[in-house]
Amino acid sequence: MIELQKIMKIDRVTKHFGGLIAVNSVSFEILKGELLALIGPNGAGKTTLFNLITGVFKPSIGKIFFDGKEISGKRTSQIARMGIGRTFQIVRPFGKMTVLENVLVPLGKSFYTNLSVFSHSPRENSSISKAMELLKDAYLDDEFDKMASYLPIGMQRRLEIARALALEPKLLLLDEPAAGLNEKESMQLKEYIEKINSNGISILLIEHDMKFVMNIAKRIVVLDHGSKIAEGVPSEVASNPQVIEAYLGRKHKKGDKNA
Amino acid sequence: MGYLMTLGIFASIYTILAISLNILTGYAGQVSLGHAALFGIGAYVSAALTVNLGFNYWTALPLSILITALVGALLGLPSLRVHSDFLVLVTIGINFVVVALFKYTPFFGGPYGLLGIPRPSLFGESMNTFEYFLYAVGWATFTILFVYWMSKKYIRVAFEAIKEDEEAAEAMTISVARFKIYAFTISAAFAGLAGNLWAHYMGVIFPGNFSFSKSIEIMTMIVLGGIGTIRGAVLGAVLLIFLPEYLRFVSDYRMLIYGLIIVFTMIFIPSGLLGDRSITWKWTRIFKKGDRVAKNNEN
Amino acid sequence: MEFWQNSINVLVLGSIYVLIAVGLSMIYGILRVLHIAHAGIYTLGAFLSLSIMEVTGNFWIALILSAIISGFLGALMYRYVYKFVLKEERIVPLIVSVGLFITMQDLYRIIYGPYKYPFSISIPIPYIRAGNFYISPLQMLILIITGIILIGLYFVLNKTRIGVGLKACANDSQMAAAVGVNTKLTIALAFFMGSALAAVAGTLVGVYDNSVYPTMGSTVSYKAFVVVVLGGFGSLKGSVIAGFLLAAAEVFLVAWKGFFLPRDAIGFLVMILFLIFLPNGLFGRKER
Repeated sequence: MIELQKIMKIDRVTKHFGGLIAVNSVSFEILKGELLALIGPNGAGKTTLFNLITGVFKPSIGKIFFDGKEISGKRTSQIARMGIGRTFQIVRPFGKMTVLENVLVPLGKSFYTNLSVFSHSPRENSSISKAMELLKDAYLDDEFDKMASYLPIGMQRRLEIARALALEPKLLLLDEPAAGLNEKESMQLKEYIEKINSNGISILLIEHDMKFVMNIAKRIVVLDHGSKIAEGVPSEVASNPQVIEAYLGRKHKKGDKNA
Repeated sequence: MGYLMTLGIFASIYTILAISLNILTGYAGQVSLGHAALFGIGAYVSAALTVNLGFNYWTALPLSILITALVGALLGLPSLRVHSDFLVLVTIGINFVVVALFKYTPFFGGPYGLLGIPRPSLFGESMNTFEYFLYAVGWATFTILFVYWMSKKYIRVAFEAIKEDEEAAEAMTISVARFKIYAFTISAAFAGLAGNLWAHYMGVIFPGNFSFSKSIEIMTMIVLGGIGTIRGAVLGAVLLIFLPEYLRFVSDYRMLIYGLIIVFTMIFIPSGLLGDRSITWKWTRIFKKGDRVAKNNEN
Repeated sequence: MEFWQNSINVLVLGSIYVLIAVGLSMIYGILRVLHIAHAGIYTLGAFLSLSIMEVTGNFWIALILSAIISGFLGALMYRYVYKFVLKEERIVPLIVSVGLFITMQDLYRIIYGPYKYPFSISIPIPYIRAGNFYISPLQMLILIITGIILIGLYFVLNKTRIGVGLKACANDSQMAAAVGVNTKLTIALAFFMGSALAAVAGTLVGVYDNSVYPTMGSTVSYKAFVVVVLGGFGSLKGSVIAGFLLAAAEVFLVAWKGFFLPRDAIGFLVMILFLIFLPNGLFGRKER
């Protein structure tokens, strides 16, 4: 019955771009209800892996399974429909829509594949009350009629997450959600993510900010130069010499360059 | 009076055209400067069906709409690979190629066009100008109502999403490819309808009727009225049909004025006269805000 | 024999395409704007040359003055029109450019009327003839002027500070500004040079066809984009090669009588196919 506990399985996935190997035979699993973090220095291949999972790229070698079904090679919209919600590294709410409209978009999920898209309206009460509920969980219900692009970045992040949750995903992929947030916004976000996770939604979190990850993740996978170099609970990973070498060492060098 | 009827018919046809371009450009964000090609396909298909193949108008009407819609879907395929300004280049190219095809295909009459396109008949008698005017206005009204109804449904949400951000739309389970093709097909269907109405009113069509400058004319209408709104498309079409007739100098300098309208609207009032964030609404909003301030002071 | 004659036609037609497309490609390389109004400048160049020649009687003065005036107008177009819309979505400058183009075209019609003006000159170049094969003086003129311009352009772009500035701006205009390139001046210069070349092309076509008329830029404007697309956006070398390739394709396909489409449609068909299947052109750098 162990099979059933996995929500996602990444099986020896490799991605080349020309001669460059961005992701090199990476394997790991995400368990149901788990909050797994994927970390690594810049250019480690995190975002490429993310794009492989969401169907933006197709793996050169290897397979990705979600909920027991292979998803590698499927289109992004199909993968999203199967139950994977995502956010973007650089926030991408629909800027010219209001906050409420942003959340109404995914609520049309069941109409976008057939002609009922012509007959159902986003203005039905049931959709709006559902959207408002999601906004309330994201502490955004007061802003529902504001244009999304006018919100401060912390709110835009939460809006993006709320929008992804409206798909009722089984797995939520968060791409550096804490980037660019201040201390307070970061705390609010952490609370929000933990709440989502406690509702049984598995989360894969890509993060650059080590501190944020150590606080929130139950388990961590570390990538460097496209390969997995460590996997384990935060305390294990933090004391792994290879991780310190790759991650902190490189970070130090990067600091030098900036100075 | 007959002249006014004719203008009314033109205004109706251009209203349909402007709304159809608005579905594609205003709703789904796919800018086309080759819309006259679809207009032409509708006109030529219907004319060829009735003149060359002896079809009855009422059979040719649905066929011309259907065929234009299918061609539209086909012409939408490039939009799956080509984006923004490059897509515009493709649409311009398509316009030139389609006109060249009309011009060089004997079946379509070559450079001399097709003549003797019949007016539709009602109860065995062909429509007079007044009846045709009502007929055209009827179709324009239908178009407005249909698109208004559509704009309240999820299809509009999907269009809006792919217009704003294709990648985010995909993440929201919206298949960008599917909805781009929808936009091209629906838009082409209405352009085909407009072409049909044009051909059977004029009785004669030439390749030159559907040239690139016609595409610019249609684009000017929606730019002026306000991209993305039905009211803007209607206003733009009606203004650009009636103004040249009543202001003599406008008709002499038609293209000059279209050009200037495009340049100045784009630079100074990018939302057009009646667009969602246009100056017209800003002015009214200033008044409203004034009211609110007054109310707050009372409290 | 016919082959050699056609080859000369290819060189002449290709020269014209190259002269127009180089400016477009340069402007696209720096601003990422599809400058359709370029063809308005092309027509302007022809009319200016015609008018100046009527006054001065000297073709060379007319050609050079027309190129300089057109160049300035191009630079002004950047300064007073494009600059306002560059920050908008990329589609906006394009539509503005189309608006500008039809405005200019109609202005010429209003000023000069919808007529074809003859534009004949006599130049001291001998008729070259060998059997059925010949090069007319006007063809020679076009080849010589294009040759001089291309060599000059190569020199300016590769051996002078102007060229360095242009390249820097095309790579990354913010970076260029940071290292002390006057980007505004450089962009204006690109518009100046490109527009001057377009004016020369317009003049040469006017002389070659012995007619100048308001709508002479209509097909050319879009045809030039075919060249730019084929050559790869922003690649000048690509534009030069593509200009001659397009000319060759057109001339030989038309010579081969079986082809069902007119000459102009061939170009557009090629462009559409390239944009869809080879969006980086034959020689373009990869983008995105």
